[in-house]
Amino acid sequence: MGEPSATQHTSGWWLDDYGILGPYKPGVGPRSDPRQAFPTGPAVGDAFPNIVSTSQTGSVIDLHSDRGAGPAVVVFSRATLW
Amino acid sequence: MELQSFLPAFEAAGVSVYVVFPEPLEQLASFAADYAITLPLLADPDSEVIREVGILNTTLTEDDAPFYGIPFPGSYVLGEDGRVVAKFFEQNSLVRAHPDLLLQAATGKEIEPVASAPVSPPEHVELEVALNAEELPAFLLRDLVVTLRVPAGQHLYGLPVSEGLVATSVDIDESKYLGMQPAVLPPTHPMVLMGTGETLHVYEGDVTIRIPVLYNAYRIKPDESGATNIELTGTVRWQSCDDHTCHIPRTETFSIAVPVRGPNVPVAASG
Repeated sequence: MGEPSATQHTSGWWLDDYGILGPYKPGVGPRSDPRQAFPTGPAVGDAFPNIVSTSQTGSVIDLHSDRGAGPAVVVFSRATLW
Repeated sequence: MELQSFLPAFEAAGVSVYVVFPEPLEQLASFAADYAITLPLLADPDSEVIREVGILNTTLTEDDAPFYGIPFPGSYVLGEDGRVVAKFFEQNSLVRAHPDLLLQAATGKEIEPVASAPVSPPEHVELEVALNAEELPAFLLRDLVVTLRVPAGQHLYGLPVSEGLVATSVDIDESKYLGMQPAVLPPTHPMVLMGTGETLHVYEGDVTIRIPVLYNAYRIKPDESGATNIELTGTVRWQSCDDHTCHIPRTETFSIAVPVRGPNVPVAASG
């Protein structure tokens, strides 16, 4: 497993394999990308676990109850600020 | 936040949308206010949900605070029965599936290609090249859709291809503004040559090739009008044959001007 491609731009930011420029060096901290297979949770066809959490409005949301009998999209993000 | 702008489309289709962050509620409330986010942002400050789902970023340790606890970012599409019908995870954590792809997976309705590049009509095979989007937002994958319409009685070749024949291929010119993933080609079917008994791997009918592309932000300064475009160029190569004759291999170039958009900026505070 080799090191991720990381090229420092003249701005001081870092380029990755996609040519995406960002303040963090690829392979470090928030840009710690997996370089081989990595866990991606439930497989297609598996039941998705229920999530009970609080939203930004203070409402407690029970995922499978809140979506009712309809389809849903659940996105997992790393952070709001970066 | 791109998902927010697509929320009306999700709601119209009856699809619920949720985003989970490994951050405290106060941070999510502040972010939602800054960007006018109304879709549910769910707080997971101790990464309990992330661990239960099984996507904790294992390349980090507790010594990597404050980043330890983040997930391998991705998206799940759930069916009416709560089972996973599709999921989108990328090796590069800055890259995401566009909300259109999520909506397509949730509803089963194919996204229609939008921007078409005029290509000189070939002699036998019709070629269409289009992006399945009106613009490329930063870091969000969209598909360049290449469609070859093969007349009845003719076929094109896929891999592995026999010596002397040309396999169907699409190449996008490298650009410092573009990231891309390998082309996704449809499966071929076998065709046995009468006489030699050799098996060829062919395409017939409409052949659709998709190349996921994205815009690398921070590269371009908007012009005076605020609009920003990049040129998406490349070549498509193929060879068509019928049962008796093979035509000269064709190489067609394409060029598409695509509006791009950089990262989101906070909504101005109302006074």
